[in-house]
Amino acid sequence: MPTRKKLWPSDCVIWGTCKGMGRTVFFGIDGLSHTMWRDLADSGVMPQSAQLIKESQLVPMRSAIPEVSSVAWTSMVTGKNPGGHNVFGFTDIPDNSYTLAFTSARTVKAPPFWQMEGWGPSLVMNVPQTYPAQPLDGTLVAGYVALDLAKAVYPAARLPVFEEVGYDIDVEMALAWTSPDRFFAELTRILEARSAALDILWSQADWQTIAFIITGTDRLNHYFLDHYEQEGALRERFLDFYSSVDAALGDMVARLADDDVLVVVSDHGFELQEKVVNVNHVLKEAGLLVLDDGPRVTPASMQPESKVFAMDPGRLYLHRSDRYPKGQVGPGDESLLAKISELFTGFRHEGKPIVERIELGKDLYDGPFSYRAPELVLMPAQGVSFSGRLKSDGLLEDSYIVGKHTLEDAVFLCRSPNAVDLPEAMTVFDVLPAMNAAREGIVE
Amino acid sequence: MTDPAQHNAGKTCWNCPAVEFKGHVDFRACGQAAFSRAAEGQLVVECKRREEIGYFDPMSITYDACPEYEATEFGYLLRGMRVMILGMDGYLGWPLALKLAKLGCQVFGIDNMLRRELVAERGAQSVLPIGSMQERIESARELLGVEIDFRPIDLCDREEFFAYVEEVKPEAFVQYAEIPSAPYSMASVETATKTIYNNNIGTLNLMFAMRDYAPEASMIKLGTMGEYGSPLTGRPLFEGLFPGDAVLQHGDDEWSLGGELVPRDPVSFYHVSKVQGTFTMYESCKYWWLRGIDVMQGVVYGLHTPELMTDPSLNTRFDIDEWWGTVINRFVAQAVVGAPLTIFGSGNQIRGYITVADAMQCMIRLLASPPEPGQYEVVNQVTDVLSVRELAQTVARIGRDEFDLTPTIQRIENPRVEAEEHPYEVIHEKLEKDFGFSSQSNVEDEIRYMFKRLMEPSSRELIEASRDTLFPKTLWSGGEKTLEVVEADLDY
Repeated sequence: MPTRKKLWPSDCVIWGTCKGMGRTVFFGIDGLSHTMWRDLADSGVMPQSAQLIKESQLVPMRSAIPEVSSVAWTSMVTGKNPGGHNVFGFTDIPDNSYTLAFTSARTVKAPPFWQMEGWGPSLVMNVPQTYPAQPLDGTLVAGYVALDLAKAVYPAARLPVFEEVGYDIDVEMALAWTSPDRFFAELTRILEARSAALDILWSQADWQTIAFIITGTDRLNHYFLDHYEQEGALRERFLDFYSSVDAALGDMVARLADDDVLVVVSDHGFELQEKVVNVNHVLKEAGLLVLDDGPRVTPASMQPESKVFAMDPGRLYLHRSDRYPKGQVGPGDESLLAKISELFTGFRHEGKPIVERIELGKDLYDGPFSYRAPELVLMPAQGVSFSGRLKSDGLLEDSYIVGKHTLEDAVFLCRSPNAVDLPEAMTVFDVLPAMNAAREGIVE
Repeated sequence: MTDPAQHNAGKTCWNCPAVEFKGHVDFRACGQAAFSRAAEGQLVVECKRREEIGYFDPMSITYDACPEYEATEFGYLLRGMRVMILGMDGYLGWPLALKLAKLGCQVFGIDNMLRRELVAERGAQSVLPIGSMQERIESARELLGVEIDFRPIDLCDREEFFAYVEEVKPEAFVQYAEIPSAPYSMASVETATKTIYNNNIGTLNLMFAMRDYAPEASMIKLGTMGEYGSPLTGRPLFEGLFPGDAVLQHGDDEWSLGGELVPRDPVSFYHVSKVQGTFTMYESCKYWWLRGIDVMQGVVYGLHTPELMTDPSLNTRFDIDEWWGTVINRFVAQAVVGAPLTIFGSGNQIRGYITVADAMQCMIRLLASPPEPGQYEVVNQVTDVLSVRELAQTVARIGRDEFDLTPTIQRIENPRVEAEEHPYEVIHEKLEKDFGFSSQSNVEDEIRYMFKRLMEPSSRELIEASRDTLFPKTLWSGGEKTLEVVEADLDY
């Protein structure tokens, strides 16, 4: 049994009298690291956060493996690990095919909390991996990856609310390198539109549950973290956006009653990226991955003699005969797994390792979909980002991205009227149990 | 050579009209999106037929791996593809409708019935009896077991056409709704205007309808070999549109286009309208990421396809007058009623030809393999390259030797402005190489079949009734006159 520590919000003795009666607010700040939040709160950039942190219990949290948003958010809202909810990354190859598909709400095989009994009516805004919008007792606008607003909104009758405020799900990425000015302006505009939609919808129903995620922070960190970390020219604009996020959080807090439960979370930490390593390039060089020649390389380009391939970020899948049309590898080929592990463990670039460690899929995942898991997951060395592109021109890939995710240092904050027990080392898989505990006073 | 039955097996969803472009995504930046088609990142689409896949990389599914495609003798074909034929009442529109319907496509068509009207105005008629469109559709239902949806809509009537496109959301269009007559376009300012308006506004309406209601559809537009002209330099007729300073290669030769159009050199206002149509289509593909194939078709002749041969009630129209009949068809009709076969000037003008049956095979293969979004493609659709004199001699010989006729051949003064002596080399490689096309016809057999049909009493009577329209009289310089016979009774 994991050790647990008791979290006592400062005035929960008073709130304890009204447990389970209030609303639950799940407030997400995508890509916010625990370290950065503390720093920005302490330095006065995020004063509302500073006040909230004082009133709440804040702990660092470990993300999911791999440490990508689709997996982490789905794990938080379902309370399952990928073996239980079926999302192992942003990309997926359906069984017995080479279709490079992208995970979506249809991929998720476990219900999120807003579809569970006792949580509705719910207002769900911008939670990643919820596109296309699925029916619920309430209103939902999906978060990324969602390229079509009309399909991102449920019920469809709510679409005009979003259209009228100029709602966009995401900021156009190319602006980050073609026009940073417009990129920052768009981040702010989209945050304001999201908040405006929240304002309108807030009063339209007696919401029992509200999930509201700010995702601009993740985009900002990916493209401009160096300006923050290294005193770059755009540092003030970087901080301005975090101030806007803080204000949005403050507005939310101001709306809440004493008996409401507030959880603030992020999905992973962040650090500066030094290089992007193409994992499939390493496999090709080692003769473990053989592709057809051609200008367009896709999973269908894999030759039968391919033993293994990678998908973003560092997921390694054996080219198994029971999963892929041309696969010839038997499941659980231990000697092959050992050979692959040895390849990456011993791999050096400019004298430095590219992996910190290698995880076995069978150790990471359990549940009905664990058979779809990668056999191995490469955990990157500091500053290393993995790419699972099949097409490669060399070991390293060029990228406009300067910031990368980290497994550690995500955020979990809880302010609730009830005492909450949390695991010693909080993970994204513990978020839903913790929310249940905050609502009911019991940790399952 | 591509295996004809498998020529498009390796095409992917990026070529498929059932797929909708959604954007580009960078998954290393948490799936951040870019919506411009020219953006970087992972290309993302959705399939309108298989929504359960969600977003996916369109290059990762090939036609042979997709359950929505079925193998046919023309390659993999999108199951139940919705094809809209513009100009379905015409010589080519109707046989294409029948063939597509037999292949399981959902066929929709429009026509303003203008061709019937214009032929009647000229005092002529189809010499194969044809029923109304409704009657022919009913026959197709009874005899072939197919359903065809037809609306009497003018392509130039934007409101009605757009509404129909929005309703059907076609996955492919075939643009046959053009006035296809060079002499008609040269007859008067009214006929020239009508040709230019009908052909160019119609095509423009099609482009805008596609942009707004069916952007993933593919289109096949009928161009004509006549757009190229017949360059006196001997430059082959390359398949495509090229920059004016391009240097093109064919075999061991290099050809510079410096000083030429690109290369287009139309030979009548009808051909001008076709060149304009080419550029309308090219620009639309460029601006709006539409996709299409411009078919530079040779002169079509003949009257049989497996579907047309089922029953006379399924006949397609067959015109033989000066304005609306094509050259081989007219020669056979002239021979049948004992009128001289008339050739212009020297008769050494060389052109490309193709039978209806081969043209239909090409069209199905092109429909089965759309270009990628934004791609404008050109194919030269001809099978035989022959001089007019050779053709007249072949028709006369077959009429005499096999049908007991006594045809004569006349050279008459040339009413057109065109080179009568010129080199002519057509490059027509793409259909065979990229689309698996293989001709199933030959000139002599097709001429024999035409004689058989046109010598039936019903057709012979109709040709006799249109006899006055067989002899050409429209001048490129304006007006009409009885053309002088330069040489009578040519040998054959």
